[in-house]
Amino acid sequence: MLETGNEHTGSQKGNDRDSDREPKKFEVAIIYNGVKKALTVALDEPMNKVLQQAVALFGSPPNPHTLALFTEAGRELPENVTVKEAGLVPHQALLLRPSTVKGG
Amino acid sequence: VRYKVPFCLLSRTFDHFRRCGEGRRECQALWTSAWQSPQAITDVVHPLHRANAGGFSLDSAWLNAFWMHLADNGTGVRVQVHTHPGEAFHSSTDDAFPIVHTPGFLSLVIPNFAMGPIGFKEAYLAEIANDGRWLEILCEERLEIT
Repeated sequence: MLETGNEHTGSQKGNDRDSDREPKKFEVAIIYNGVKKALTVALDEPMNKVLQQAVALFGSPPNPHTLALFTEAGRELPENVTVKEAGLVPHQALLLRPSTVKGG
Repeated sequence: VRYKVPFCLLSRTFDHFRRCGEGRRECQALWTSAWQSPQAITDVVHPLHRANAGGFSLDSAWLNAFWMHLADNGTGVRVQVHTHPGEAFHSSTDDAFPIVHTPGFLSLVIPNFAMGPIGFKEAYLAEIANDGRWLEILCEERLEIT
């Protein structure tokens, strides 16, 4: 038990050190219709604010509620989590695009 | 902006519509150009989509890859083009779900599943205004076939 506890404590310290080294703010790249722009985000920033800022980077086009942020792999990023919870990393490319494109 | 559209790209657009839509399904094509020279349309892209006689929907994974392709090549979408079964107009779905939302973006609708003559006869062109509304505009005002 003691050994496990020591290991746990050591791990916690390690995580604390990792957390200290983690940049609190960093840049990501926002891509919209072929244009790439840099945006600074903070780890504790909510993703809905990041989305608002990303939309503003491109002149706040009308009907912004139809736009969302996606990873390069195609995962739509939820708006109700923080940057850290969304798993964003420095210099990551994020795609600002409509969730749905259709016509009729 | 008045875009220059080479006739060969317009012709290729109709080819996509006729081959993919077969005169019984809607279809979409996207006209792109370089950001360094936006007025000169240089390519027509036929997106991966699902369609029926009353509408179409783009594949999300395809759209993601296409968004990266545009950034990698310094190009952007200027005009979305799609077909209607009969009369050309801008439906409420067309209004609400375009690929680009920026004012000045154009949406061209071709009637009769593009089975008629190649050109803008009876086509409908709409443009996003600054307030986000779609406004009808004459094809000649924004599109020049070269």
